[in-house]
Amino acid sequence: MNEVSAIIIDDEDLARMVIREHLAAYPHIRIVAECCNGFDAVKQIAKHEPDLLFLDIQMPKLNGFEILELITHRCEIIFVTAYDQFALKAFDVHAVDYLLKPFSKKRFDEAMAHALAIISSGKPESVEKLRESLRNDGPLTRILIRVGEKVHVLPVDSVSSVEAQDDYVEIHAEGKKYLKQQRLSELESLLDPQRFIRVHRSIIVNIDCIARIELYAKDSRLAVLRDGRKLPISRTGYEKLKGRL
Amino acid sequence: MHPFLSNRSSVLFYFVLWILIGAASSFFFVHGTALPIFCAAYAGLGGLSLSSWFVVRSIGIRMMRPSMLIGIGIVSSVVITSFWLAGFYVLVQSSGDTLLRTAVLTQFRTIGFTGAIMSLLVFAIHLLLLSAQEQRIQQEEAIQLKMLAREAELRALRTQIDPHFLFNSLNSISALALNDGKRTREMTVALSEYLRATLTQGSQDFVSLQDEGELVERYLSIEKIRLGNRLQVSIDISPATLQAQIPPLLLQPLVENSLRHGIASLIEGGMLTITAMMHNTDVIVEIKNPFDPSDRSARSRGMGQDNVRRRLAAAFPDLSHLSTAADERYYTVTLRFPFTSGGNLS
Repeated sequence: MNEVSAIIIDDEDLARMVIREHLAAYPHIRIVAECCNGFDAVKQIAKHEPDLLFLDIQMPKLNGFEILELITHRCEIIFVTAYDQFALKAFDVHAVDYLLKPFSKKRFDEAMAHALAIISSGKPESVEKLRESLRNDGPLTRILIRVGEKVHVLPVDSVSSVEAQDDYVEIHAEGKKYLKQQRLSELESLLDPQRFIRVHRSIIVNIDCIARIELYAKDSRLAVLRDGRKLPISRTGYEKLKGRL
Repeated sequence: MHPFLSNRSSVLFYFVLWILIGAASSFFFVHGTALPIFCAAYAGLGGLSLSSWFVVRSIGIRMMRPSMLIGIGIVSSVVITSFWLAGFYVLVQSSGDTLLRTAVLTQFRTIGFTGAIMSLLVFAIHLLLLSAQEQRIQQEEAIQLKMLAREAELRALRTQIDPHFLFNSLNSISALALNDGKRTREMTVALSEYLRATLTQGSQDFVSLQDEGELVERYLSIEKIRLGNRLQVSIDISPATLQAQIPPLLLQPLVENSLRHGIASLIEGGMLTITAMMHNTDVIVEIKNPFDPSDRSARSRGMGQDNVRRRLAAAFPDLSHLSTAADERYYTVTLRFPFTSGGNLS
């Protein structure tokens, strides 16, 4: 059997220990890293590109789902959680492997059998659908951006505008710019529509950051932000803004 | 707002009644002459008498002895009638009708006396209205208090079986079982003791600060096994405060918050500090934890904290206080409530 690389992500030492013990029965699985927080997990996954992840959901800094959002590497995931009714529903719908703490050897072996079958077939299932269904609880409160190994956590309050740049969005926050691979319409659907207005085909503005609106030609206007930047507003964008300001 | 003035038909009814009284008085005192003057004058008395509502409302009728209420009623109606009589006199004088003037002046004492009686009647009606109103408010408050107690009970039940805490603890036991029999037993005992304590204390109305402190310590001893050296604890409860009575499970949700939103969300963990001390006749309890200021959930402690605030307020109405403070590194919750030992609780 081919060697399978795995990373265990859990903030509790004892919880990692249990998984390690169970994995001792699988000699062809090599544990390449253990992580006790989300930042480290994102870094180690990028570095080792493992085949298999044991991912705890409740963790400091970044939770399990936020880690998923930040990794580009495709791998098989077994979620491990003590209790999370909301996530469990999503797991069942999307046939994701999960373990409920504490778990039996039998349950562990079942999850492993399923995960290993997928790994050997060479097509890890996409977690994008799962990711989307987990997002349904209220507007985004922070935006996560990974630049190389570094993870930036931007509170949405600090974001003044978002502009579409090909496949990326350029996020302006506290005088800095961040690029994130995401479609503008997708990000728009995640932000609070009361505060973040799509004022133009390629621009979303935080209405709290608008200083004033200038008319610069017939039917075309500019939003002047508190930091001095000027952004174009389309006619429909202006209609949306009028109702809010 | 005056209850009569709150809708138009009751205003109308009230003044029509007074105008009728004015007309009757005109027949009684001056054989039906000067009808408009009398009607206007008695409508005026009706208007002036309304002011006794504000007297009734300001004196706090629940605290007053009946004899005091009668005294205040007499004084207020005498004052009101004096003003009215002065006005009545000016009105009669300015009518230029000398016959009317003599007729009124000769019966001035009777007019004044009956006027005062009527004004006193209005005072009594005000008194009845207000006490009915206060009784209704009292009933509503009692219902609300009952609902609060019920909510607290539910919350207490939920705390006993906080699923995260319970399953994570069981997972730790399962982890320890193979390698460390001694610690496995310790943790099983600690978890059982904690669950038992929440069950027994949750059914009581008040517990001592000592009992609550011990429950919190048990809870923390379990969390310490889970979080390892990320959690350090410093507890300093002044002996003078140990017998202070508090609603059960008042501090535990706050400590749980300190871990969940504070220490457990920090990679390096930190020190949880709990202190209790006397300040004059009050007990001050402080729970302080380091937190990640960039984490927004660390400041919103949500339901648990609101619930503690309300339960504290229900146990010590107007005498207790819960405040929170956050600086760059630490989040602090401070409770202040009067010291009551077991014996003198009502």
